[in-house]
Amino acid sequence: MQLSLGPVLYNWAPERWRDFYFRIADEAPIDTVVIGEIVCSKRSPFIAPHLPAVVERLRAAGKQVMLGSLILTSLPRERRQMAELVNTAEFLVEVNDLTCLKPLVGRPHAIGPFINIYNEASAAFHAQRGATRICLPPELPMSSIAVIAAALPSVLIDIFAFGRVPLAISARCYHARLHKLTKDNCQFVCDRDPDGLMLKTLDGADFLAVNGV
Amino acid sequence: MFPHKQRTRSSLYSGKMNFSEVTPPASSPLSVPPLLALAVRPLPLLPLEAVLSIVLLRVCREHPRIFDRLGVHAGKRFGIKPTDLPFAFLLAPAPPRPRLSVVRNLPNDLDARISSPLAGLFGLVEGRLDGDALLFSRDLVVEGDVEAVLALRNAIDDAQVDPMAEIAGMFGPLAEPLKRALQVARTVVSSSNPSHKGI
Amino acid sequence: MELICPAGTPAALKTAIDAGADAIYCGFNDETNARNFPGLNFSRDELSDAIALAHRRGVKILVAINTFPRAGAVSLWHRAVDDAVAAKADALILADVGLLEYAARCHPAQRLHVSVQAAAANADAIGFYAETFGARRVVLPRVLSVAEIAGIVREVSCETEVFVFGGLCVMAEGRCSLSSYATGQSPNMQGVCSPASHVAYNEENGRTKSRLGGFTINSFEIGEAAGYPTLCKGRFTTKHGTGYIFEDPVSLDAATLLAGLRDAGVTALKIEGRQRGRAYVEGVVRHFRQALKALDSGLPIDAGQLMPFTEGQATTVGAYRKTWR
Repeated sequence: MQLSLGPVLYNWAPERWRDFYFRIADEAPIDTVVIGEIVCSKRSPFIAPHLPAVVERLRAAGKQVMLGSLILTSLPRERRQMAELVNTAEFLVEVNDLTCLKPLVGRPHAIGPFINIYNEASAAFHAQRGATRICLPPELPMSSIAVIAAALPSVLIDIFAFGRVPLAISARCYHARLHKLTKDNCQFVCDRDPDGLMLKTLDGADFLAVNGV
Repeated sequence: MFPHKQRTRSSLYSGKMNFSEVTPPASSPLSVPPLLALAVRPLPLLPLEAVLSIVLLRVCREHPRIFDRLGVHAGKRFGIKPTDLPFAFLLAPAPPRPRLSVVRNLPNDLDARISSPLAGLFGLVEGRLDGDALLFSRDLVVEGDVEAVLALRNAIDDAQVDPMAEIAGMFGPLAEPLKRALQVARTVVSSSNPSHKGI
Repeated sequence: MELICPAGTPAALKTAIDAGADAIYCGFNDETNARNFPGLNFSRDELSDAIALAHRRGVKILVAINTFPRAGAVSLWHRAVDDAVAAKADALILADVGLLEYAARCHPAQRLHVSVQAAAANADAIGFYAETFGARRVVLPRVLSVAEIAGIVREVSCETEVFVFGGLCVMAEGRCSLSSYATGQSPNMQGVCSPASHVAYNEENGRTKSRLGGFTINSFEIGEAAGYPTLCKGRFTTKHGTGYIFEDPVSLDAATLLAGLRDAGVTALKIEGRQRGRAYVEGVVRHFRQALKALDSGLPIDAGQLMPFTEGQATTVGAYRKTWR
């Protein structure tokens, strides 16, 4: 079995983001690293200047690098971002929304955990179109994982093994809402919670971490 | 903060009561007027129970699909409490002998407990009121096995039961007083809610 | 614009026909549809009878088979597709690509709609479904503004259907595991969100506490309007205070936006609420039928009349207005 590292989901300072991946390259026994901003398209420009250096460092360390696509794509600007992403042919793209699938059909690509693969038929559908790896949704029970993996021996199946589980994506930004801002003028307040905003139940039990959208 | 959001309290049940001498109940505009509640207090429960049992058997006979929809929940015991009346109902719908008893106080060992003003309960049975809407306005309170209550509500809503017709379809000395009481209750409640319009 | 109405029972379906529905969507009484609630939905016989009745009255029936088939049990969903086709459903509402492929292959003449659970939120994704499976219509996720919908309609070859009233998913549909996290059951897999079996209401110190899967998700004062016990409309605490972090208990009502949706080129308007009673179906469908008549005659549309049916006795136009985000 191999180890993969999912993308950083929080809004980190660009230098911190870069240095984190430098350390992963230098120190972590990881086979595959998925990078890129997949949560909020507004954050993408921040890490862009550091992407080439991070990719180079990770590859030099022998890691396979994949680029993750946005989870929720609705704006024209986001569609253009995704079109650019799939055109960078040198990377395996991890598809998190069917938006960018059409130009990838027939080309090797990865299916990310935000594409709903709940059964062997939908996994085979994507495998037939060029998916070489599939990261299964975290809510999938072990019995389903076993069936899908057995049905597609030639596809590399990724599953969540450690860390927080991404539970939902929204058009609405909850960080902006909490700070009484609109999403379009959010002032990137999510950067104040680099490990997410802790959310407790009314009884004080730790419950969720809020991360922008 | 969110100027696009409209927020008003429910206006459905806000009609003024017809009895000017009666103080409107503070709890819910759906409530039976206190005068009526007072009037039914001394009613003996046994005749009421006998009538309702016959109604229940008729309903179950004519609407067998209720049990398909109830599924495993047919075996459960539901306490139904009209919050504006001095008694409650205990429903155990399990075939072959569905039972509906009338009690002064509900026992504690129920699977679920449903509380609402009588008009709310009546409206639910007749399909004139929406259960979720009553929950949202807090005119309906559910405790215990929420799933069983949901199954019961959906089964009854689909059955299109007409309790007045069921009672009218019965003959006998016991049916008449209850029918009259229910008609009075319904008339009073309906006229106190002119904006009702079947919602 | 077509008016697409919900029905959780045959009785609700008859009510929707009488109240003026153009089409009614419903599902089988099992995990193949996303309203798999106790006591709800249609047996095979009930669906056949319902479709026959609807067709006599000139009303279409759309069958939602919109959960994601369970691995190793896909045949259950295939059977649902086959049975709905055999019952002469006017369209199937599907979300899973494997199931869409099956339906397109085995029933090439059957009209297919892409469920909101597929979360196809832009012209590229919608185009993929239309081209790959011949899908004739897409139900748009509740993440788009009216202007964005207009842009999508201009670009795609298939029809669009949008929600105009009822429950408002705050998270992108089909991509939310909040219910799964709290209860182990999810809309995508079991067809339930915040299932009643995991909900508990308790009266404590004069307040009603709602719990989901053991987590306290809200606490109401006596008489304070409530909503469904879903996580996205619960009260929680952060370092900034306590409140509705994601969304207040509130329902969608886009009655005031009908002209904009018509001008955007939307084909069909959908009312949420297969889990609701006949009274809701009657009240909401009739209201929107009147609103559409008013729209055709250039008359103003009454808004706010449906407030008693709504969560929290409050409404929002949701993402249709951009500032909601």
